[in-house]
Amino acid sequence: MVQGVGGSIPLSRPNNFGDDVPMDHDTIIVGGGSAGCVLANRLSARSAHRVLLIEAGRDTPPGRVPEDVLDSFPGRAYFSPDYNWTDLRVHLQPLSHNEPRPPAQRGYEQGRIMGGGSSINGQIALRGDPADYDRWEEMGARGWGWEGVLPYFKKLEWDMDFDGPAHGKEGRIPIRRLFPEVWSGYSRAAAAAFAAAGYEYRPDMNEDFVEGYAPVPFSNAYDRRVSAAIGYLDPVTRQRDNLTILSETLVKDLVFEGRKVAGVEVALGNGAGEIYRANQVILSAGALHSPAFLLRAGIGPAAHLHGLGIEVLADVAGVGQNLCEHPITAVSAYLAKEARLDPRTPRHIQVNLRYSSGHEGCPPVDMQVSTVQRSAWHPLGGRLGTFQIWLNKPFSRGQVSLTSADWRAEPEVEFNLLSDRRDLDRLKAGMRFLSTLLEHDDVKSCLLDPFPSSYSERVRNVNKVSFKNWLATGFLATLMGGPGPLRRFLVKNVISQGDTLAGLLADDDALEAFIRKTVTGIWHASCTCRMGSPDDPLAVTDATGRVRGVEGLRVIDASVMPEVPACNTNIPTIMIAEKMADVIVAN
Amino acid sequence: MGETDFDTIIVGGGSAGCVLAGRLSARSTNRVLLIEAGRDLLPGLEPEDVLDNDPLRAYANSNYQWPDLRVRWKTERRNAPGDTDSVGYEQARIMGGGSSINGQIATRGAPIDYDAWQAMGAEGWGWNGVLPYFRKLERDMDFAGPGHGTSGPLPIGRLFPDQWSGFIRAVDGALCQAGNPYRADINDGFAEGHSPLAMNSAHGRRVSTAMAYLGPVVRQRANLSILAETQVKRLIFEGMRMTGVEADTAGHAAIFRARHVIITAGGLHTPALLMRSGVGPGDHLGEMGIPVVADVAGVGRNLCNHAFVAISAYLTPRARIDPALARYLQMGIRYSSGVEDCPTADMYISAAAKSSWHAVGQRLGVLQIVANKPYSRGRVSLASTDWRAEPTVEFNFLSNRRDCLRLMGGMRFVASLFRFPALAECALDPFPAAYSDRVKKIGGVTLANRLKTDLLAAFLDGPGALRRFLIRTVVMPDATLAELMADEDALEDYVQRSVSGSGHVSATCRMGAADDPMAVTDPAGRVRGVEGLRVGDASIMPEITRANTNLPTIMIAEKLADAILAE
Repeated sequence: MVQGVGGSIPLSRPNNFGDDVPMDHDTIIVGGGSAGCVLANRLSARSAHRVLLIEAGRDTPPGRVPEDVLDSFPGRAYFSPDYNWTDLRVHLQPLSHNEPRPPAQRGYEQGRIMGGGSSINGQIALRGDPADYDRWEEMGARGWGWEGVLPYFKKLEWDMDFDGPAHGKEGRIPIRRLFPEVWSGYSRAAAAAFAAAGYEYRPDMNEDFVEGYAPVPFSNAYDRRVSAAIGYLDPVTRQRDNLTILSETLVKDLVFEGRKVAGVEVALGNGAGEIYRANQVILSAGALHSPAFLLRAGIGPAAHLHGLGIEVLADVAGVGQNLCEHPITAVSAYLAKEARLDPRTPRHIQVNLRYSSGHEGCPPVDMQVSTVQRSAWHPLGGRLGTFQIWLNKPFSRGQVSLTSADWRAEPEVEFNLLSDRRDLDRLKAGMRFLSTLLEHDDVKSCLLDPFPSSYSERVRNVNKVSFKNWLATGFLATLMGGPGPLRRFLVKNVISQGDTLAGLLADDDALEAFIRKTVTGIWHASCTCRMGSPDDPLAVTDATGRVRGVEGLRVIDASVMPEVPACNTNIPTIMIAEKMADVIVAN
Repeated sequence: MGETDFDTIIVGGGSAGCVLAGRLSARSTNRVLLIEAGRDLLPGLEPEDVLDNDPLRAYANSNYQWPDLRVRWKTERRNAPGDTDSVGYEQARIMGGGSSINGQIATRGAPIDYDAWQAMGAEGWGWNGVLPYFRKLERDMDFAGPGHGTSGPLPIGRLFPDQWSGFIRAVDGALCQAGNPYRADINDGFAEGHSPLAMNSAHGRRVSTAMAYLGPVVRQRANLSILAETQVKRLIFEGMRMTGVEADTAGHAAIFRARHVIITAGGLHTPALLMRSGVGPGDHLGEMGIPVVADVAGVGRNLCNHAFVAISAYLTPRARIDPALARYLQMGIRYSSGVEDCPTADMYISAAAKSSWHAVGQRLGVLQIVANKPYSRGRVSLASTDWRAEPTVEFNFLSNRRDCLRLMGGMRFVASLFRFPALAECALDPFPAAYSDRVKKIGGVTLANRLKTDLLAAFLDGPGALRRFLIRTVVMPDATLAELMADEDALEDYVQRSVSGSGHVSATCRMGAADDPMAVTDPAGRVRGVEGLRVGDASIMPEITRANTNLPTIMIAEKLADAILAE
């Protein structure tokens, strides 16, 4: 896979906008996701630095961002095959190697569009626990303690609600909240239940990380999503002569000369490759694809590379290891009419609760409950409310590996969710906690006929935007609005897959089996190329993202996190890109 | 309500009122009441037509406007009544005021315009005095540097040439050939040239002052009360001292008492409220039978606005705006009329990629020619003492000869632009266009209008001869461009007949020095002759500046708020 560079390289070729793309760059950024867009902006701010940003998916230039991407309700963009790596399949549960019939792989959405995850995700803009970052520093990521990262959380944001020393006003990502005045009936009921359970209202989740319920900050301004592409690849940045953006362009492989990175080879339409040269290459392809690039280039665990016939360039044991994700389980219910979302505030999650499981060996504030107002774009989704419960601080770890040396093949992804017993036990206790919230009078009158729910493949298929799905769910929604017994029949036999909440609560084994079977992640894949100190054999990069054992190559995205912070990963990923960009620009 | 319920009452939740409410209530001991006649817009619940970056639907929504307001572009001559018709005129009645329904254009005007304010007695309002507030109010999304703010409440963005429609790009081509250069930042310096329009919008959404200054957290302040759908009938004085206001909420009268009242009801309603309350020209108040509290001769005088005429053309399909792009006001052009005693860059052309939401509008590009530094002045006076009655508004356009000459020259300049090949090949059959009540009526968002305009559009797409016939007989039956260009008298007659005005009413309670008999307020907005009363909106401009008035009005409110908090 390691290739030399031929002598005759054309000076430029046109990109799909008809502009000439130079063949030589100072930095090539592979992946225009949440991190890549930040880097493209910051590195090209110095006009002498020639930057090439390559994104596999479509571009979202100013004024041409698709409506489903801009929508504050993310349910249409989530599952659009136009914005995702559609061949990516993953294992969520641990694979037992003596199990003759392993559970089927499932789809797992990863953004393939300019802005990456930030163009299709739930727009949730949380920072996590200061202790998470202090722990990063303890794990060998020098300079990444809370004091080191806070300036970059501030730099990236324009907090539209709060001032003060914890917040930034000049950043490119607007962050706002929906406050109780405009909450839906369900959000207000959930808040009442949280309060009755003894938790306090905390207006600013990003200021202090404590137990309590709060409006959920989201990266959005004036009811429009602001992705990293929208925020950082603004019209004036795009006018820079030293910034070239190539979209709908696949990078096949990294190109090395000896141990020094020389550039990347991109795939041309006719199947041939073309090489773009650079002094530095930054992988920002996400926690699943970044390690896959390294592995294909011969950077990774030697034994694994040998097994695939890939020549070892650098034996780096940690590549693809330490895969983190937040496991989740849920209860859904039919929403009474007055509990549903006002169509003018189409946010699917308005209020979250953070609390402590109290489980032995687990840190405080390790759990999070999200109240989902609208479970999908379709008519049925508008009538289903969900309490999601997830582990802020999971202990289970998975891995990414290759099944093939072919650049077209998706990697093998095993999340191993709940492989650590503490994770399973906390989700079980979480389900019991949810059941107490459901007993609150306000919640009872909003959430009718609750049932344990999961993000099954069946649900995923129904959630793709299509006329057929609209029709089918519209019909079902109408029936669900009918008499209670009919609704309960449908919930039991059509919507859920047979398990009842009462049944699970009465039988601990059934509860455990349900959670094991239905646990999913929430697209927070991270930590597969983690930063660390030089003497840490499992560290993949140093604290500035430089990949060990080779020259000129960095990883800058969620892959470098030592472990997943107690929050949605998008804002921490943008923070990482801001902080690393600062280091690169300073050198 | 108790004796003094509030420290400050702000009358009018428009572009200025929202700024003042947000800034003054930041001090928690300051009890502020904001009263707005129109509906409130709760953060996160703004209607779609207000949020739209394309202002045409909000413009056309009568729910957001004072329904009975009519104006005369020219002054009615007593010896020729009926010579000038009154026309409907949009003034916002909604939280955010003009900033909730206007074209979202965010320009500052020429530095020397503000230096002129200072020279006219508005001490502290020269360019160096106002620039810090233009910076404070804004968060420029495109440009940084010493002239710009990056953390203000109001985002300002632009549509750059890569997003311009074919027509606007052709106008750019013609202008470059005519020697009028491209300038990227319309708010950096002030010179001849054409630029992407700066807009108070971000991420494809309008940002009104209600959205920018009265966000959800500001509204949670215990010391800020917001009362919408409430109209102030009159100001209450005890002697010369302002003590509060009498208001009407859905037919119920209420009195609110305060130590200070700030009127921010706009260039027309602010002087009307003053006069109804006994503050104004003694002779006029006497005529109306209103007891005089303070004889202030300047109230309602000096009315400024930007007068304009326009030329439209039929656009070939490739020159039309991409329906995916909401913004049709894409470019602003400054040039010099060369008319004697007028400064350079005294003229402005607004280039619009379409003229309305409907099918005919999509096919018509417009170049609107504006006397950006006007010399004519009009007047606001009372028609009745009834608080429900709208005032009499006479703009007196073209009463200064220079204004007429410059609009005539502008017609010639724009006609010449349409002859440059870049424009001639995509903008066909240019014709003089007037914004008549008839045009306004067909602009209403209705099914009938859609059907009518779809039909007309289909005919316009037919053979050129048919199109020219329809333009001459149906679209704009006034005159042909060729006739006007050939005959100076016909051109002048056309300009006199078809001139209309933008929404930039201002300068009717102008600031000035204590010894200026026509000054209504001092440079801190305090109304002369009474105590506890200020005006804080576009009314206090000594004269209009070469900019859409919204941004200067927000600047005024920012600067006054700062001064009030410092007192």
